[in-house]
Parts: sequence; C-alpha cells; structure tokens
Amino acid sequence: MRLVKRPAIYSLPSYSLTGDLLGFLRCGLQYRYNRIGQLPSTRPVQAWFGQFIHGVLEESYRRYNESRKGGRVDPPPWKKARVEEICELIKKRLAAQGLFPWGADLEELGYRRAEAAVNELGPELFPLIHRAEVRLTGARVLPVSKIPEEYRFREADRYEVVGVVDVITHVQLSHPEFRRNRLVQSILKDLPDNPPDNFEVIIDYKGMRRPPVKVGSAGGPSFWDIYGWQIQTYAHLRKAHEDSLPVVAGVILYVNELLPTASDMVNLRDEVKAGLTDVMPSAGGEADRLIRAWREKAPIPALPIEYRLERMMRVVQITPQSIQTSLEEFDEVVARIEVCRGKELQHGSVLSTWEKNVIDESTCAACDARTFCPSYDKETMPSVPAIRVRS
Amino acid sequence: MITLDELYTAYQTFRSLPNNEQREAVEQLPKRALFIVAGPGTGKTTCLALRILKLIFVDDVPPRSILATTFTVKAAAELRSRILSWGFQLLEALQKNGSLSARTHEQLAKLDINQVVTGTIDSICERILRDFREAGTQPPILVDDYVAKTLLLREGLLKNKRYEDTDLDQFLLPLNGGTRFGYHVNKKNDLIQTIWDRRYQDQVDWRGFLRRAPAGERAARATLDEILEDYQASLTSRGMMDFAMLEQEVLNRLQSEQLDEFLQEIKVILVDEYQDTNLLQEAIYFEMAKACDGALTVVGDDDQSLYRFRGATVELFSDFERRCNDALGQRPKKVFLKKNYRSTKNVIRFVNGYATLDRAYQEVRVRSKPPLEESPKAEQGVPILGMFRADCNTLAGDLANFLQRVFRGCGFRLADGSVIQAAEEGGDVGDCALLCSSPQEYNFSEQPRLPLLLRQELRRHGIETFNPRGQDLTEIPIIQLFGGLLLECLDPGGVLQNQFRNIPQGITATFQLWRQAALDYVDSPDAADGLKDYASAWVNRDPQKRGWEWPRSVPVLELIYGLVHFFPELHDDPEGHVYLEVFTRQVSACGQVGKFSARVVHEPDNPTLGEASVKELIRDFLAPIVSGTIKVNEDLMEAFPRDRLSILSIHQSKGLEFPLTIVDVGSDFRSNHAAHAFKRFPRDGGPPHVMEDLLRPYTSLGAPARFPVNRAFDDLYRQYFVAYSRPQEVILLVGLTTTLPGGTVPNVATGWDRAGNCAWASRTPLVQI
Repeated sequence: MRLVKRPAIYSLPSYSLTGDLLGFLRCGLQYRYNRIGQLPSTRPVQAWFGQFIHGVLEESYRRYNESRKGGRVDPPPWKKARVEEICELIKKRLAAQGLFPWGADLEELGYRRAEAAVNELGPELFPLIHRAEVRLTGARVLPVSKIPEEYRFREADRYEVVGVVDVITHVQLSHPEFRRNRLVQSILKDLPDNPPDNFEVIIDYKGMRRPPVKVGSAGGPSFWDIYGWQIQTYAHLRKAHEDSLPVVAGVILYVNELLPTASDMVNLRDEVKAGLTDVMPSAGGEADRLIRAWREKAPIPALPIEYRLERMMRVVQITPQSIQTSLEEFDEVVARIEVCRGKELQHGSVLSTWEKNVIDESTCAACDARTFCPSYDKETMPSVPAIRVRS
Repeated sequence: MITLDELYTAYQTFRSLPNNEQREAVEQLPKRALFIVAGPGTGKTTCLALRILKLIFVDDVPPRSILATTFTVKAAAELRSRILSWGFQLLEALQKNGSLSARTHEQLAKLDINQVVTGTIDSICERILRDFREAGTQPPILVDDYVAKTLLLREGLLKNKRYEDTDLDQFLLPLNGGTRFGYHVNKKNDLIQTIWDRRYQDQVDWRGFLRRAPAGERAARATLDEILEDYQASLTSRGMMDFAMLEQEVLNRLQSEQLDEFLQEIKVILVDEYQDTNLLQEAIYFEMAKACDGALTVVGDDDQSLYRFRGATVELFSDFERRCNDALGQRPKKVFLKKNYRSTKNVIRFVNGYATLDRAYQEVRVRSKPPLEESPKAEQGVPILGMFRADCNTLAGDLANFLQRVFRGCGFRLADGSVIQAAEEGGDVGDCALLCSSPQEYNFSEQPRLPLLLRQELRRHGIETFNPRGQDLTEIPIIQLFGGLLLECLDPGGVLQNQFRNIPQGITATFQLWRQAALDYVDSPDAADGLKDYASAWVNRDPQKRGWEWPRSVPVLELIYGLVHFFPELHDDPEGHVYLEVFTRQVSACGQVGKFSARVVHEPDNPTLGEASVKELIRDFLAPIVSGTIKVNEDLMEAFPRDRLSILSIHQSKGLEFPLTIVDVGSDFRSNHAAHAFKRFPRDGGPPHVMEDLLRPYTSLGAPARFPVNRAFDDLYRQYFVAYSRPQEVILLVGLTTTLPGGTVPNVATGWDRAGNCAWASRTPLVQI
C-alpha cells in the first residue's frame, strides 16, 4: 500500500500593517531578524518614544472621556503636574514591558512632547473622538500569482491583515462646535469636494517628525508613500464596521513637530532649502525667518504654533481609487514577504534570501545586523563600546 | 439573512455536506446550550467552524458577537483560518446566487467575518482587560514563566531564608513524589508555583485552606501564604500579572459587572477542548453565557484529557450536562460525533478496543458514549504492527531500517505480502512521527534513550530527525561556545561567578565547560578574524582607542550582537537563529526582574556597582539557560519538516495526525522496576493526584471520589488513547521484548487492565515485524 501524504495544517498568514508590512518596507532583512525572529533591537529608542506618546495620548483621552460621560467635561490644557502623573503611569507600564528611555535627556524630551501633544492637540482632538485604539481586521486573497511556484509553501488562499487605528473621529459639520474646530478646518481645507454632513476621519499618531516627500530608495516607495498606504488601508478595513460613517480622510499626526529637537531643526532647514518638504514656511514669514536664521548649537527657536500644527498634520484624502491602489501595494508587499520566506525555507539561509530594501541610512545605522549585512559597507566589523574622554 | 438550505447549497460548492451528527450540532438554535462530545478524527474543527458560519449567515448573529476559544495558539489559528476561508468561499458562492433578494445581497456585502473573536482563553482575557478598562487603570502586562518563577523565588522563597524552613519541606515533599531526589530550591519553587496556579484554577477557598489545616501543617501553610503574598505584591507593584491572576481578574470584573460593555457585545460563546478546562475558566464561561441567555457550545473528548498536571479537571466536561443546568438553568443538547474520517478500519477497531479494555476506566467516561464509527470511505488498512526487540540498540537499528525502506527504499514487505511505501508523489519521512512519553534523548541516569539511538541510526541512512525537545540546550556546541564567550567577556576568569554561594554546582560546572570551549576556540585557527580583539576589549573594558573610554553603562545586547557578527551559524542559519533568540529572550527577562535593566555597568570609582550588574547577568541571564529552565521557542521553527522524522511527546501530538505513527510503548522498561511504574502501571498516585487531594477539599468540587492510583491509571489510558488515535493508515507499537503483551512488565499501553490482566496476551491485536 502507498501511504498518503500528511495533510498540511491549514492556517492563514496574518500580517499586521505596522509590525509586518511597514517593518518589511523599512528593510526586509531587519524585519526578518526583529519581527519574525523576535530578536530585540539594542536601540529601541523609537519603540519607547512611539509607545510613550501613544500611551499618554490614549490615557489622557480616557480621562477626558470619563469626565465627559460624567457630565462635567474637563478638556485640556491641563496643569503640568497632571500630565506628568499620566507620563509616570505610562513610563511605568513601558518599564514593566522592558522598554526604557535611553537616558534622562530622552525621557525629558518625551515628557515635554507628551505635554505639548496633550495640551496643544488634545483640546482640538479629544472632542472629535468616537473611538480610540480600534482593532481592525480584514482578509485579502493571497497574491499567489506573484509568488513563483518554487517558493510557495502554504495551503492558504487568503491572508489576514490586522491593524490598530489610534483614533476614529466622527464629524458632524452642521454642528457649530465642529465648524469651529481647528483640526476640522484643516481637514476641510484639504478636501476638494463637499464632504457629507456626517463623516469620519481616521487619525494615526506617529512619534516621529514629518518625513520629506520624495526620499526613497532607488525606485522604491518613500516613507511618505508608505504611511499614506497605511491610512488608506485602515479606511478600507474600517468601512466594514457597522458603526462606521463614510471615511473621507485620514490624518497622520507627526507628533514630534510640536516640539522639534536640534537634529529635527537641521533636517527641517535642509529640507526647506532643498524644497523637499510639502509644508514650506511662508516666504518672509516668521517661521521662514527663524528657520533660515537658526545655526546649530543655538537654542531651538519657538516656531509659531500655526506652522507647527500645520507640519504636524498630514491630511490624506480617501477615495475608492486611492484605497484600491494602497491595497494592491500591500498585496505586493505580502507577496514579497512570502517569497523571502519560501526562499529561506528552500535555501536554509537568512542573509541571501531576504530583501535588503532599506530606505534610509538611519535604519541601517541603528540596525544590529549592519556589520554582517551584505548590502551595508560602512561598518564591516563590530565596534566596541566607547565614548570620548571628557576634557 | 439566508436559509439553512441556501447555506448548505453554497457550502457544497467547495466542500461535502456535513454528516447527520455534525448537522445536528451545527443546526441547533443560537441560544441552545450545546454539549458536543467529539471523538478523534470526527471533524470537530469542521463542525465548530460551520456552526459559527451558520450562526452568522442563517441566524444573523453579528460576527463580532461570537467568541470562540480553544486550548493552544496553533489550534486557535487553525479554527480562525477555517472560519475565514470557508466564510469567504460561502460569500463568493452566495453572491453568485441570483435567487437571493437584493436586500440579502446588500447584507452579505456588509458582512465582516473577520470580526469573529477567536483565541486562547488567555489571549481573550488579555484583550478584554486591555480594551474594556477604565481610565487610570493599567492594561495587563503579562509576565512569562521565567519572570514569574524568578520573582516567586527571589521575593518569596529566598526571603527570610524560607527555603530552609523544615516545616515547609515536610509539606512539599509529598508533592514531589515523597522523594528528596531532585528536591532542590528550584523544585520547591516549581511546586509552590503550581499551588499558586491551582489556587486560582481550582477556585480554592484559600482562607479555609489556611484555617482548617491539620495541626502538623499549620506552620507550613502559613509560610506558604507569606511566600505567595510577597510574590503577588512583587508583581502588583510592577504592574504585572501572571496567567492565573489574569483569568481571575476577568472573572472578578465579570462578577462585579465591570465588563457590561463587553458582555453587551457578546451573543454566543464556543469553547473547544473543554475536557482540559478548569473551575476558574468554567466560571468565566458561565458568567459570559449568562449574559448570552445560555448560548454556550462546548466541544471536547474526555478520553483525550491530558492536562491534569496543569490544572485540567476532566469532570467539568464529563458532568457538563448537570453543571450547565445548575449554572444556566438549561440542560444542554448533547451530540456525539462518532464518525471517524481520519483512520483505517483496522485502526478504528483497535482504538475502540483500547478504550474499553479496562472496566474501571468506563466509570469516568461520558455516560453512554458510543464507539467510533468508520467513515464510508475508510479502507481496511494494514493490521496493527508491533516491533519488540531484546535491547534498545537493536530496536533503534531495526526501526531505522524499517523507515529507510518505507520512505527511501522499495517499501517494507509484511508477512502477508503487502508492502508499505511512501506516497508516490512527494511522500517523505515527514509523513511519519515517533510518539513517546518523553522525547528526551537521555534518561535521568544519562543513559541514551530510543530518540537518541534512532537519530544516530537514521543518520546512517541519511535521514535526519526533528526533535526540538530532545536535547538539552546546554549540549549544543554553538550554545556552549557562545555562552562561554559571553561569560568570559562579562566576567573574565570567573572571578565574580566564584563569589556566588547559592548557584548549584551543576551550573558552575557547565559554566566552566562553556568558558573552556570559548577559550579554546578563540585561540584556534578556526576563530574568525577580529573576534579575539573584540572579546579582549570587553574583557579589559578598554575601547583600545586613544581619547576614548568605556561607557558607564552598556546594554548586554550590544555584546551579544557584537559577538554574533563572528558566527554565521547564528545570524545566517535559521536553526542557529532560534538558539540566538534564547539568549536575547532571556536578556529581556533579566531586564524585567533585575535592577540594572540588563546593562553592564562600568564605574571605575565604584567597582562594586559594576560587579553587581555582572553578577545579576550571570544569575538572571546565563544561569537559567544553563539550568535548563529556558527552552527554545518552537513557534520560531518550521513545524514538522517534510524531510525529517518528527519525534514528539504524546502531549505534543494532540490534535495532529500522521499517515504512519510509531508509538514507543516500552523502550525504557527492561524490568518491572518500581522507578518507572508510574509511566506504565502505577502503584500509587503521582504528584498531580497528591496536589488534587491537597486542594480539592477546599473547592466547590470537594475531595476526589477516586483513589489517586485509579486517577493515575485513568490518565495513562487517556494518554495512549490519544497516541493510538493519531494514525491515518499505519500504526506501529515499539518496545523491548519484556513489554510484549503478557510479558513480564505490566503496561497499560500493551493491553493490561488495572486488575493486572493482559487482554492482549491471549488475543493480540499486533502483527509482529
């Protein structure tokens, strides 16, 4: 008798928008190590910072919402001590998860940015929030045709895509309170058509500065594109929810813009000079003057709040076509990940089978695989820990 | 939305219709409590997935209102995959159905099947506490087992030298089988952790346990209480929870109506593998079901309950009808799934015979449970095979020859002339598995066991094995070398290591072996260029650059990744990668429990501080790896490679099936020795049964009615029932000749009942090869 072949266990792959798809687009090899291999990074600065800001904003909203439910609305701005108490709570939570700020400077910056976010953004944002931390899932057909046959290793016909959206807002334009809201005004400004009277906007916080518009690897997408696809995909997944209204826009909030550091200022100045940012200061205006006049090592100038808010917000229009394009882009990414996985299974090697599709130097500079990565030649041997002797 | 007929018509476009018994389960109304007793291979997952889809499509239950839990992450993923895949295929078929109304099409277009909530009970509890919490409260931060154990040891057992408490020893020793063998501090810690878990899992009246203690145990129980109080406080102060606390917290909030928002969403609960549930989980399910008017479906099989040692209480399943009635005021509809689609007629007959072999075992099975039935397509198959040899070496050699002939040769010919051979297209040794009570390669006396001998014999034939739990990590050369380098870089020459008084000698000896392996390698010609310089800089804490100095604090991860650079087998080989993850995972755990956040401190003015940071790394990072507490993360490995023979414990094999299944029924038993009686013919109850007898009197279930030895027999029958029901086509029992049916070694796996009769002695079901 001939034995049968053991049936493969049927399991759909699940890809998260941020952890998997954006992680792979940042660098395939790094994604293999950090996400699939579960190897922690030695420099989780971004992880701490991003989660810290998210945590503080979420907790602040919960408190605001409690006060709203209790009939005594208590919107920010709040006293410094009150925001600091929330910061302490979140810091402790992250420490229990093994995430720590790298030094007092970073912690201090985190606290100040969190305070700015709660007190400058919160009053506009919190009243619009319908739900926070909303889990979204959807399934897509696995793009099998894009995976060469020799690298197909699953039975699955679909993949699941998951994500958590930071905030879903409901906007009722006929309501005067919404009409006066600065966030709503900014959103409406960027929408060409007359939106419906009731609509929703998906908001995603990023614990980073606004990226330049066009910088990407040769022929590859830029962070600008990638974050745009992310919000479009959120909109697509959100539409399936019963309590959803028409999603007309997504807003990405680059929280670091509220309180730039010296290195942010260097980047801003360079991008303004090279025309690489889409939010240029008005020629001859205060922001323009401050940016151009600033020299490294000088104190960070207080850029006008209007300019900082404008830089913080990126409104992404949502249309059926833009959603479709983004979904197809992500299908493509899933296919690329599946191909890498299939190659690794077949060849038994990590380095030669995963894409080294890195977009920016800073990703490589902070990567723990940089000294043995075949595509990075700036460091080929690990350097020992060292700091300059203080004179 | 649609009718049942329309659902089945659409389903038939991609799958065969369910059989009558499956239909009976699928078609019950949503609010009907349902008790599905599903034998092995009877299409349990199919039935559960299809019931969920029927609830969505026919009964209009919103997908987000359906909560389905199962026992393992993998089983939950499989269930979810089935629901989604079939759900989308149904949608496609229904969208093509022109006879449906426009409104129905509109409803179908809006349906979001992804919102069905699936997961293990722990993942669902975590999600509930995260998503439905009040402002100012923390989402749960779950600790892994190592962190929990470390805090229990450090904050509980070591505090005030409680580990030296003789009363506590007297109390704990019976839970260790009454022996001092292997009874050290870590073992005491493990036993206390089990009590902690069961305190919650069994819903123990803890105050009663303390108050009504026998006079001789009062002091010990009080000490135990202090240890657990301190442990709990250490977790709480860090904002952490372990799994027992997590589930208890959910139950507390359900009972105090703090989760009403969640309960308003949920309309139907479905629980798979219910035979392995415990009182705490049962209470959670009943609380949720009360809010759903009793819409609770449970699925399981009492014959496959294997997790008593982890707190599973099979009586909750066998007695579900009464318990459900008491809790929900509704007697559930009982459905037996008995049609087996997995195995041949010969295998099914063998399994049925085995389940009814022991008269006393029938007392604990679900009442009126029918035998498994053959599916109409089942083939007769080959007879049940047995391979028994005088010694383990011969057995391994002959077994390897058998496998070689089946999977790489022209097939294995049986006495009746039939030939067993791998599948013609793509058949390989991955179609087979060896199931054992333990896949460890060495026994307690460091003697080789069948898994090792078979690995060696198969290698001669060019066949590899896949046995991630077979080898101790400490024996893997790359782990030894890498661990040794870390030790030497952190603590050159072991100066700090030698200052420890309470590190067991075995760990110190392994440290020395590792260090030597590293020192030999660094000076060998095989060492990678630059490794010695890099390691020397760490040894001397000297960056070797003028104008630069060593930082005051460096994460040990930086050292790990620095060294990884020199070892392609760790950064390029997927298998080595799994070993590297062991080191990095343990670094994270060390950071969670330690004072130095897993950093190496270097304070020339205060060397004691730097030494303390390194000692912490030795104690909380490297020693646990050496002690065997830390295992590889099997989720990172590709499960069951096609070109290797899988060697699994019977527990690991649950829920799986293999065309050819080999079951080791007695390769360890040369004689009727008392030491291994618990694995084949128990003379008394084991530690899990003693634990039950200790705690159950303080629970709503009361003291167990059966003697410990009887429960030990019940557990063994269940274990081999699971093993014998895994094969699709061929099953081969292997062991030493002493364990042949009717031989000198009584063994429930070879046809013995607990009265000491071997039914297979006169009528053996085995054909010897």
